[in-house]
Amino acid sequence: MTTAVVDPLARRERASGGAPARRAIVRWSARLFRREWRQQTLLLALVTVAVAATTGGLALATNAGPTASTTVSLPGNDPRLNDDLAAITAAFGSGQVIHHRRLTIAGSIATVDLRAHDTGAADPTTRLIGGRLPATIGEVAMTHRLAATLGLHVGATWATGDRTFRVVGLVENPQDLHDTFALTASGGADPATNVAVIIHGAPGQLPRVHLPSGAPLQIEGVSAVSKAASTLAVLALATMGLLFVGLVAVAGFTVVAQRHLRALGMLTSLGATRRQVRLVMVANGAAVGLAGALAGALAGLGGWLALAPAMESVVGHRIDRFAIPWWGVGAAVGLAIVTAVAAAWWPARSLSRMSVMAALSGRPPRPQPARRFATVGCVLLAAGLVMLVGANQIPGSASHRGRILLVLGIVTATVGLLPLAPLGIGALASRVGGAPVAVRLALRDLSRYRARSGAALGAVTLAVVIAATISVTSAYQSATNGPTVANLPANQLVVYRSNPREPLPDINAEELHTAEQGIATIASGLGAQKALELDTARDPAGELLQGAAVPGRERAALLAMTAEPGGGSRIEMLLPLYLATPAILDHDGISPSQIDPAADVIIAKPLLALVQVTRRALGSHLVLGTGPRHTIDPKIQTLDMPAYAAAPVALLTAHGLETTGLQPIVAGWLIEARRPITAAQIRGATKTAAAVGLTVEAADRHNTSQLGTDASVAGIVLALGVLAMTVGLIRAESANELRTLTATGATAKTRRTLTAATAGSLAVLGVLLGLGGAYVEAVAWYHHRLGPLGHPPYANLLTIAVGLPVAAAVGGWALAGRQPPAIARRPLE
Amino acid sequence: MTVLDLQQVSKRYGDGPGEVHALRDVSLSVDAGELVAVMGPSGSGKSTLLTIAGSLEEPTSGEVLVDGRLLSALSANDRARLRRRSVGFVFQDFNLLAGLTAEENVSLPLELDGRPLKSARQLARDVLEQLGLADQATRFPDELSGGERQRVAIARAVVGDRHLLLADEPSGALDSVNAEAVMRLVRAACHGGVAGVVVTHDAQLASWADRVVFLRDGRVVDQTAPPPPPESLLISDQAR
Amino acid sequence: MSVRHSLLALLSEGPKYGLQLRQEFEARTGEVWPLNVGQVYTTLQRLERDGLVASDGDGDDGPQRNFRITTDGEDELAAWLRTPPDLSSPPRDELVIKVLIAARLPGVDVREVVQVHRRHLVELMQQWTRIKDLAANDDVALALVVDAELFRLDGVIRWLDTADGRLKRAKADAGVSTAAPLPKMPKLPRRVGVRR
Repeated sequence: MTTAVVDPLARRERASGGAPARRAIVRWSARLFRREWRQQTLLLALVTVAVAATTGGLALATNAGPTASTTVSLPGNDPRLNDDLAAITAAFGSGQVIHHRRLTIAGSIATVDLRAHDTGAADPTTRLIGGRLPATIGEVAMTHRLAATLGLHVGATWATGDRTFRVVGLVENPQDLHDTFALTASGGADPATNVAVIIHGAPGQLPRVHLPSGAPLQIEGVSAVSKAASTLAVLALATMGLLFVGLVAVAGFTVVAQRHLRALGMLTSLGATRRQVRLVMVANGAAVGLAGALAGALAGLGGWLALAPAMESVVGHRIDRFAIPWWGVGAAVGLAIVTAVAAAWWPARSLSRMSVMAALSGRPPRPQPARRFATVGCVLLAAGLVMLVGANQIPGSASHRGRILLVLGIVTATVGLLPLAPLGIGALASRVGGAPVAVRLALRDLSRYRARSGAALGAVTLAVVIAATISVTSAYQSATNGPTVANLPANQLVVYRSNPREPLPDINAEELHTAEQGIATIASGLGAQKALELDTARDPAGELLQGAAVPGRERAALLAMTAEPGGGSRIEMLLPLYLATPAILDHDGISPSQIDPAADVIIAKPLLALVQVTRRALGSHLVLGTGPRHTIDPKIQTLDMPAYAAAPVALLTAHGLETTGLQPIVAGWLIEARRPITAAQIRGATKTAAAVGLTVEAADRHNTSQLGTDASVAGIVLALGVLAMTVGLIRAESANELRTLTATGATAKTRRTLTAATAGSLAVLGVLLGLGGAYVEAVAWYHHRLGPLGHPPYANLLTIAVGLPVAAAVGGWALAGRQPPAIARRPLE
Repeated sequence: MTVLDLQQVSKRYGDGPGEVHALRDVSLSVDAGELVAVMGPSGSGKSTLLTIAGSLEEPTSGEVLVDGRLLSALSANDRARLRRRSVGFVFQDFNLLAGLTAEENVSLPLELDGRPLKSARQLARDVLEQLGLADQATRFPDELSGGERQRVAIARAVVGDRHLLLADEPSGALDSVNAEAVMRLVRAACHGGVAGVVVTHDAQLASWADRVVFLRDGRVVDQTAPPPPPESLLISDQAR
Repeated sequence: MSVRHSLLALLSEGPKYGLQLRQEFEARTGEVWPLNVGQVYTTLQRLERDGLVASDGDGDDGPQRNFRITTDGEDELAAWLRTPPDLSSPPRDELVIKVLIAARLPGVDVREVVQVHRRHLVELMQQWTRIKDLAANDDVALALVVDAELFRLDGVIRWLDTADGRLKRAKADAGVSTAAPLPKMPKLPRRVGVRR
């Protein structure tokens, strides 16, 4: 069969066959991909979703951070205001000068920020959204929120105190949609409370300036460090995301490689070099990466463009939806392709190294010894933990280097966890001798195909680590920083007898009667049945706690922290105290028998950690009282009760009242409605309150953080998704065995058990490794203050630890009953 | 001209008590134009012999020469090149890459060797035509019957100027009529100047060879005598 | 002839009496091959005439005569074992007997004997295959005849392969089995005539 037309020696002696050979390989690989892209849909979808999420996340992160301009503030009573302004202009360049005046609203604790500036000049903090800008000092434009609070509209007249304005327009601060203010023409806000100048540059990067008046310079804005931090956070997130995609892709490509094992062996027998064999898989990886990354980028950008307007209310400022970090998107696309190629290269590498005969007969490559892998993992884990410890010891851990080290440490330690996965699988598989055959088979398979099950487990672990880390750290943060709670729930109002910023006046029976009638009116307006009286205690002689800087509450009982026992000059923290009346205890769900007779003060549980942490950090003393004569070192009891800043969170017991010798006095009322209270209801309540000399405090906008719970749920969903994908992959590949099983008489129950055991055991191992890893990392990072870690978010962790395996097993059980299609048909490879 | 020369080849797998001697001191030389069958029961080491001859595995001891070149002196890439240029494999099943047409499968080794697409395709078409498979050229493997697949595999094994054909039970998965067609093709290829080695446990298959070498427990124990000239066999035929 | 060589083979184990030879012959061929005493003595006489065996008596008292094999007899036996049987018509029996006997004989590598036969059969098949290869494509009749022959020979080779494998395993299991008598040929149940 001599068909040669060219002398082989005349051809260039190349080992690899050069470009034509590469073309042939890539052509075949592309043909393969085209034939079975359906089998790789999971991988494609994964890359697509990851890139879409990264793209959207990058766009969001770029636009999510606070965008406030940098402002320099001067007190409004500055005697040399013009000189100071000139000095600021000289130092930072000229900028818009805004005069602020704080106006009170009768009957409400809320105030109005009245601004005045040259409305003709461009101002980044003001945007007209209806009507027109004020032209004279008798006109205002105001924000929607303020208009709603005051019940005004364009064209209406607003009378406040001694001034009257005509509302001519609606405005907003595009940099902060929650900013609530009224804008009038230049000179309309005098005398100003303070004067602000908008300048260029970020705080911290500005030169030092001495003002002629000697007044302190107050600079506000978004620091360069916090901007860098948000970039870094996105980068870390993207790294994690791609690591994640990479792991699942390794599992996926291992399966693909397994499927093409014989074909690749065949290729070797035809004279393909190792490099060419790898090229087949790498080309496949590149195809998946490219297709997935482009689709993902398009989906992400499309999603962002569509959802950006909705995001504005979430992030609280206007978003330029075309302000997309193109370099970041490009990098994400590039990284995704690189990840896919690397993920394909990894199994291709071990494949190209195995014996051709083993490949031709379809025997999988022998798994690498798990122990060696595990050693690498331990080394990485240790290195990551050292980095975490080190990151916390760099002076000023908020610094750039510290943050980079933190991110590196988390990534390294987490990556270090992943090689431990195969060891776990091996250990599990060796302990199931007596289990039913389906369970044994499932685990045996996991251990036999360690390359893909290891990668799958790694991905599950990663998902669990992310979820657990978020919920552990957020629990730690809230234990350390105190509850970041709203002032009030949306269905409650507090009506104070007087503005709490002012001293609490005496009250006679007639005044009390008038107030109670007002309260009754307000309560009925809200549809509430009753109002809860809030009493505080004070010294009848009116002695003050020295140095108590909280305006208005000087004379009422306080739980304070001072530098010296007995009330020193420095007061660090103050909690207003209300009397633990039976009505309040009943409202908070506490029975009198729960109260320790010796306790002076009861506080809500979340506050205890806060109190303890502050005390330890400052080394100060906890005191109770109003002044030297009535100050004691209180005995504190903590109880479960709702913790809202304006609601009673710290209660003075009868024992405490007796010990301090203070006298009770009515401070206000708590009104609870059945439904969230509307702006109109608040307006009505405010009006009523103003008429009888009371002051209303309503709920601020809600910012209760459910981060921990959300993270657990998201982590479980993510891990479940990964599990479903990889279990699907693994089980689909053993379709042949399933056929054999069915032929041997296995029922749907066997198949279900098989899949459920596979999914469940992967989930159990993932949870063990993930939770362990997350905790070890948390310990390394918080090693200097381990206390709060002793109160883990049990509910969240338990959700992960139990919920994930159960959901995985149940899902596997439910989805796996189907009879394998066409028992006899075996697809041609 | 000797194309394949195995000298005192031994192959051991494993270590210690699990050690397996697949081949012991096997010597075999195959000339161009000769078809040699290696016959032996399963586990006699015949597949190992084939893979060692084709440089897919390395012997534990002994030397293998293909075209007079010592395999042990070649790098992995050189061995791959040798396979592309001189050696053609045919296995019992799974010979063709799904996703490539018959013609593309045949031209694959040429393309791997860096031959331009056009001339590689032309050569492939020529071989398929010579083997009577011109109609199947544009079909995909899953559209071909088992016999056709094996014949395309043989076409691929001899395309270009390859002159060592190594076949492992090439008709093992086929019925006897298809098996005969495959063996006729192998024999035709050998008589065109290719040195062929077929390993099998099937006497009918082996009987197509010019020489049958018997392998038992990794040793060559016997071989058939050179056949009488064909004329002597055909006397009866001619007499008719 | 096989009786002749079978007796030689029995004698190669050591001197034996005529009657004993008959019993052992029948025992070792699984009683499928009945032999009368006359046949044994006629054969022995011919063997003695040809100088392949020798006896210690002078010819009269048959049952008491002790026979032993000569050197020529041993050569003849060795040559016979390796002589391909005539496979033209019922060939297997002779081959089977040869292998059975070879398996019994000390000093004879039965697997080597098997291989000699296998080689010979393969050579035969090669020749038939050649004929088929060289015959005109449309000569179906010839192809059919050749195929028939090839399948027959293939069957024999398969039996040899099986025997080879069986012997190998038997040898691996225990060395004793060669000394023990071969199992008796199982009797096929006779269906005809059982019911009355």
